[in-house]
Amino acid sequence: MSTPQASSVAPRHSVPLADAAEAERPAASTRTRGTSTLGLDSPAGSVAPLLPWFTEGIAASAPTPWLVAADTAAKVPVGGYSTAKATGEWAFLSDPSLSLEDKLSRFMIAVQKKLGDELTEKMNDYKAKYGEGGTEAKKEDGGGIFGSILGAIFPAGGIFDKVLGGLEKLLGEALKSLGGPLLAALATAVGLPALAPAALKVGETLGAVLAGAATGTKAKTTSSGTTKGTKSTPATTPRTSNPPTSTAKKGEAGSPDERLEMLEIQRLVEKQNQLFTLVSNLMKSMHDTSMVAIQNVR
Amino acid sequence: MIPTVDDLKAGRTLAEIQGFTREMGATVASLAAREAGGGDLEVARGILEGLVVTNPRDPLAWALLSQVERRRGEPFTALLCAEAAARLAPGDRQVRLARAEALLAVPPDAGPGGAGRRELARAELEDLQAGADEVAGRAAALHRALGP
Repeated sequence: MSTPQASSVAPRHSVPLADAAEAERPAASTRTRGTSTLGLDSPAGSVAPLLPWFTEGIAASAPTPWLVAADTAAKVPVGGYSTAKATGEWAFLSDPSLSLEDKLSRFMIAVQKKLGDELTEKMNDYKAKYGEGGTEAKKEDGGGIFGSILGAIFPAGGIFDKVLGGLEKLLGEALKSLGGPLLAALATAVGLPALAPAALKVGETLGAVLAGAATGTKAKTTSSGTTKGTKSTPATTPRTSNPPTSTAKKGEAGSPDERLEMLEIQRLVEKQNQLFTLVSNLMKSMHDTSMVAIQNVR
Repeated sequence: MIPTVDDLKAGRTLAEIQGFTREMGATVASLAAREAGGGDLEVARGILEGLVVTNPRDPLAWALLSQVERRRGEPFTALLCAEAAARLAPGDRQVRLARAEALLAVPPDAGPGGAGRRELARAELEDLQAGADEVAGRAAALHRALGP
């Protein structure tokens, strides 16, 4: 069923399909004659009439040495390019369906996860070393260095076993109350110079911790006085007046190694912050660029 | 110039590195002894601690520090210092006296070895009182004070 409007639109100049095919044929044959790829059989032959300057210097017999067919190029191995494709968590980088913003977001998430894992691992390491019952905390309790020095001062089977048995704790406390330099000097004096550097470190930190607490303990343990014939002086003066030990780092918890671990954790947190700032700035810049383009269109 | 970790491990002393001579050490030690004799134990202790840090192999400095610590009421620190001195110079009379005094300074009720410490110190003092020097005089006085 046709309407008056439809009949008025219908009369147009049109070519029947068969005629259209005939009309296209000569042109197509001209375009593809003698070529299977990029369409130039001989520059001198087919291109010369159109681009005379183009064929200058090229021999008539030269079969287009600088034009390479796409399928041929794919077969020729070319070095220098990476053939690896991103896989796993980084596969999104080679996903053509994702926009740059999507890739940036996913990149940030991936890196954030990696940093988060690293941070958690570091914190677990710290806990294992310096937490309650940690290996390093045990060391600083004095087993290693203090035990070695005490063992060197009072060798087994000597005076210690005979007359100083049961005083290990008190002697250990006295040893710990010495400052780092004095402890190192003691280690050297009793023939353990190899322990001197470690004693210097441990003595500094422990000396600071024990300076306050040990004074009270010592005053209690020594309040029974000294022997007859010797002048007794109560232990009222704190050891903080001692030049070598008073410089111990008060207020800084932990050994140098522990502080190093804390600094590493701090560095990781700062790295995360830097990443956030970087991506944030990048996205803002991209947004601003897009907005400029949109405003120009308006 | 300060000692490196390698210096410390090799047992090199600050005195060796800085050219601190034995005479200088003896002068500093006598200064500390004078301060201790005058009753200023804290000053004496500071000087002697500096001296043993400068040269940990000086038995006289350790023995003097032991005496100062004992007088300050720190018997266990005194014992540690006396033992360090005895390690360095076991036959030195002044060191032996300091060690005997440090043993006597440990409270008798501290640990089960009170009587043993007393006997050990008595034997040392008895041996030391044979002589004509200052150590002998002090050892004899202490031995008498200990009683039979």
